[in-house]
Amino acid sequence: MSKLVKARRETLPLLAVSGAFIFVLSSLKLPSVSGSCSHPTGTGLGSILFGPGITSVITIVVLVYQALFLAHGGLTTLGANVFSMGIAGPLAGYVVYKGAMKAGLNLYFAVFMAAALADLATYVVTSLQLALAFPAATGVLTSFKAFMAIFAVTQIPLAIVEGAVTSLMFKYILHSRSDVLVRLNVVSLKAVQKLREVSA
Amino acid sequence: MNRLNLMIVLGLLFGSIAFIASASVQGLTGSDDQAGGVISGLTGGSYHPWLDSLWHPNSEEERLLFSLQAGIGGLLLGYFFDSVKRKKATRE
Repeated sequence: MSKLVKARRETLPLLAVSGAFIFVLSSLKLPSVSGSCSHPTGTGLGSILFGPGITSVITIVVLVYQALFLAHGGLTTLGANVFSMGIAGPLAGYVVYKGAMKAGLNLYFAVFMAAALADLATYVVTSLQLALAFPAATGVLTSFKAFMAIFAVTQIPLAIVEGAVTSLMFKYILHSRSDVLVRLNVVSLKAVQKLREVSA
Repeated sequence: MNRLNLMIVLGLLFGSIAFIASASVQGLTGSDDQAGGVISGLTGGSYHPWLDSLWHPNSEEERLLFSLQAGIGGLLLGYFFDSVKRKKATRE
């Protein structure tokens, strides 16, 4: 991370906004359907801009804060939480974004999908981890379904909101610092020129 | 508005939003708590964590700490928006 910042000083504000997204969104306890509530993850933006490696480092900082001060997860489950929210989620977001760009989908739709699926992937992996730790008498699949029934219902509306908010922020970044996005290989120069022509 | 002021304003704004958001969900069951219920069901209530946190914040302290976390995010957003503003000013 420090190597990237030293080599490309102009990436520092984007690193700040990626961190800000994780800090802010993962602190928000939002109501969802069926009288439940949960937190978005905010890892989608970082994984699109910097990839899953750097996003993992930022996520670890947030998870350590929550483990130490909020008793959320705690230190003994930090590894499991880092894997689901810091590795699996950002990796899913990164793969979805790159795949959608290769498929030639709309840029903002690609960002929306990447952020929403990074959020959902985190909770799918959490369900799998819990199912492996607490298998039902009839097998791991039964436990997985039970945990997924909780997380999927609560998380799908929040993932949609997270995808929309991330798309809006990405649009702002694209309009204000498209030069850095091109240098980071997030978007091609051709795509930026095309978007400018459309909005002109 | 200079960089520090913008960072402070956004820090306070997002801290307040997180505080209000957690107040608005009081009475709702968190998905983590629901998952805890499933674990109890699967283990017949026999599961106990082998190590418990030394400190558990009460709901008020939890709200304040989540607000602090959002406030840190707000400071970072302030830094980002200020850098965009400066870049625009340099271009002009």
